[in-house]
Amino acid sequence: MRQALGVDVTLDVPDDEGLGFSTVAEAQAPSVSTSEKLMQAAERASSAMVLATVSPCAPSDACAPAFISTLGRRLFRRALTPDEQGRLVAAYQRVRADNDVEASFRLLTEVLLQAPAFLFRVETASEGGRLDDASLATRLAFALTGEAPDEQLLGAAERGALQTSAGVREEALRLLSTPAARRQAGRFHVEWLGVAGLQHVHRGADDGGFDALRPSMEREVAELGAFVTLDDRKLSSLFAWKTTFVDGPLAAHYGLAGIDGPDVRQVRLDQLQRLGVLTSPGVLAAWAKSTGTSPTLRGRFVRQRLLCETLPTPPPNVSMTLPPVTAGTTRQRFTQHVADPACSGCHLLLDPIGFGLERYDETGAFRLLENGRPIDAHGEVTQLDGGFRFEGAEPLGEWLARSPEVRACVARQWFRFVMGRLEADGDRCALEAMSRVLEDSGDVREALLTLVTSDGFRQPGGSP
Amino acid sequence: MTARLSRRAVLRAAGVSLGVPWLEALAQPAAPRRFVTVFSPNGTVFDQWAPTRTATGWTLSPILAPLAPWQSKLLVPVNVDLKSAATGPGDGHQRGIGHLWTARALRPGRLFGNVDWASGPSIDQVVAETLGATTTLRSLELGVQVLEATILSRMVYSRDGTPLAPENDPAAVFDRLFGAADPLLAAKRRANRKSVLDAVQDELRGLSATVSAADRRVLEAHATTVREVERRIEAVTMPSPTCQRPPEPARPTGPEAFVTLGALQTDLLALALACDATRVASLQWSRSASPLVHHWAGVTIEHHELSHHTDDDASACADITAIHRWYAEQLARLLGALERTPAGPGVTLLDQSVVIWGNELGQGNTHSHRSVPFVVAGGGGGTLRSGLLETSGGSHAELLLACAQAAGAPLTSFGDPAFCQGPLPGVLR
Repeated sequence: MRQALGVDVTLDVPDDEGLGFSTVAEAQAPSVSTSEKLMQAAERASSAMVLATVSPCAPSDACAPAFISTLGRRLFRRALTPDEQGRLVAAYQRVRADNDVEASFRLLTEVLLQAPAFLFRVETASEGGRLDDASLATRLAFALTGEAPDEQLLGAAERGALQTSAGVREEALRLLSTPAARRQAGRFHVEWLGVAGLQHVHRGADDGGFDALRPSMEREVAELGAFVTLDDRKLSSLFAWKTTFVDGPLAAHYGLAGIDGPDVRQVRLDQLQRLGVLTSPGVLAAWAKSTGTSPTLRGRFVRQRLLCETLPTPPPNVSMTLPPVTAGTTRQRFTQHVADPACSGCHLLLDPIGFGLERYDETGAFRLLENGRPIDAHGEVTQLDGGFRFEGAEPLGEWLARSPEVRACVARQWFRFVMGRLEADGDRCALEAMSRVLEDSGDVREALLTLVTSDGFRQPGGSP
Repeated sequence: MTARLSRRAVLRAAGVSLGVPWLEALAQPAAPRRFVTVFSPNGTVFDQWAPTRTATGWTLSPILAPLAPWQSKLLVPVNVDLKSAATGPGDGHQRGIGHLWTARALRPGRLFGNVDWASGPSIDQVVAETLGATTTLRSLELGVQVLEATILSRMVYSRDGTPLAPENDPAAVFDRLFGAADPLLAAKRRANRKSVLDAVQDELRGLSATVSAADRRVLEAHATTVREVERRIEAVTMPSPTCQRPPEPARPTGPEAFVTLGALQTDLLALALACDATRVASLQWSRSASPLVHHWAGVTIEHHELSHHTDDDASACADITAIHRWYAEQLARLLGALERTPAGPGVTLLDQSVVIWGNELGQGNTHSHRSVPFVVAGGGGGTLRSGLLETSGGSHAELLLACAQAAGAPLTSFGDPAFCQGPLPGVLR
């Protein structure tokens, strides 16, 4: 809508989240409430748009067909079919009977904004069973920018420039240099790393300003993700980079002096015990509880989100008891609680990873003491790499930066986000090619280019 | 608003028997019934929840004490289990909320671990097939800060197992119920919206003809939702002695917003029933495994975290009791509003209603689906019993069936038939 009408309208409908990503189509269910909100959003957008800038000619009955075909092409991401054009012109004439020209233009805009060709991504195959160029352009644009194709991409599709993988690569590279691609890369990292959940995290009434910090925390992870994907282009930097992006409030949370105001800037973390996204307050807070840290949750974060391991759910009839919060350190409490053999199987996989991050509290602030006792930050990633033992976040970050499991997992996570579905058997080639790029160079942007220029990306439907 | 009656109903009322087919409108009692489901999460503390029998009757528990003014219109079935939740995929919370109102196994899949969504309709949507046929809104799904959109946040499902998201915004509910204040403006907007949606339906039909059968089903599902929006638009809520347009609600913010939102949604729900804009409604407080901190109830720990207490942790039990007592106070607000609304000579709207308050778990620390705290309130138009009903492991599918029958739905079974032998004994008169 922003692209086509020049207006920003928020749609107050949460995207249903499957596989942890908001882009998964299978999880998006039609509902009356959503349709109602779409109607209201279409009304807000059509009344907010400046008709003179959207319409190709001065609004009049004679201009109506051109208005419909121009706006329709932008919103439907392809030229209207003759049937569509005919139906919509007829609809214009019907509403025009009771409304003036300008109101009728706005009502037709509402129709276009609620039309299935705008709301749904309809993919059509050409002969040979591959996606046609217009469908490919739409898939490419949403994959890399989270938005509809821009004018240049629509033009490229219409010229046949997307017929070759070199042509697709050229357009993809151009898209990846746009601000929308930065937003999309940021969104991927925010969702993948669980930081999107921060907005639902409660930290109690006396939260020390935590609520106000959440947007800064989310922005930091988004900036870091976009930087690693599009600028630095080294996956290892995500975990082992001594630089980050903060505004004034987040700088204070880090303990960095002399940075004020709402502007985000790049800062070095040299004197601080911080390294990469693993020690970003957003990640540390998203994987904690209101009452304190949770080594279990942080261990689960590393296992599920970074290593793509499947963990069993807790057995149904165990009491997940925690001793009182006030005494001793979190490590002591958790060590007691995994003494129970019914729990220890899983918790020995999870908790020792989280123990290594105990020097960051539930808001992500650094600490050396808990309840007056020094924190022991020794940790271990069991069962991998011969059992990797470490002390504190920094060696863990460096280990993640060189882990082949992490590289393969990142390929899978990007695949799910971009394709909006779980990987299937037929996707092995594309996934292996992405992993190989990450193995060889760690270049995330190149891995994405590999995906969107692959044969699989041109296949219609869910799985190639 | 009046129910639509066909000409044949008028003939029959005049004593002319034509042997006409069974008419739903005639099967309805003169004063229509209402059906409401209410959810609050994370299990309870059984001994603080269960009422006790006394020599002369029964007394409410610490948690249920706020419902005392309507004790004579309450039925508290004790030891009812979500028996169907022993079957099918999903973890304890997923099965709990997914089975709570549907009573059947979830769909296996991979969207949320090893499950997708529920596999069949929730009881309110089944009842709406009967009660919702003639009202402005077929049903009304309200939520209080149901922020996420996963299986833990959905409890209402359509007949084909599509999750129906609750509306969290009181202003949107208000708009749906009352629309613009200026009648001319409202009429103009209604006409234009209808024209727009008619054209949208044309586009849906046009596109349907060109896509695969599977995609066509998606488009048809969407078209159905658009038709329902059209129906909402055409309906006008007429003011009456029991239905006054309230002031437009503000959007509450801040740490106590949950409390204010809850009160607004509760009042709008009661008003929607009083205006007969709908006869079927649901109210969902937060979600299964809710991490909410109920400061206003004197609690400082996340609800879900608290629910994993040990049985001998007196402080956690006291906190959970305080939380559920607070939810009981919110139910009391709803029951009070219904009781204040007349629905006929000597009859209140509460007497005509069936209100069921449920939870996805019996006990949080074990994720048990046994002894789930259900409360049934209202008279069901004279069909419901009241009192303490001690069952020994009653199936909740049978409780839901009985409640649906009390609301006038012509059902003989509900959910997975393996767990539904008929209406739970002791519920219906």
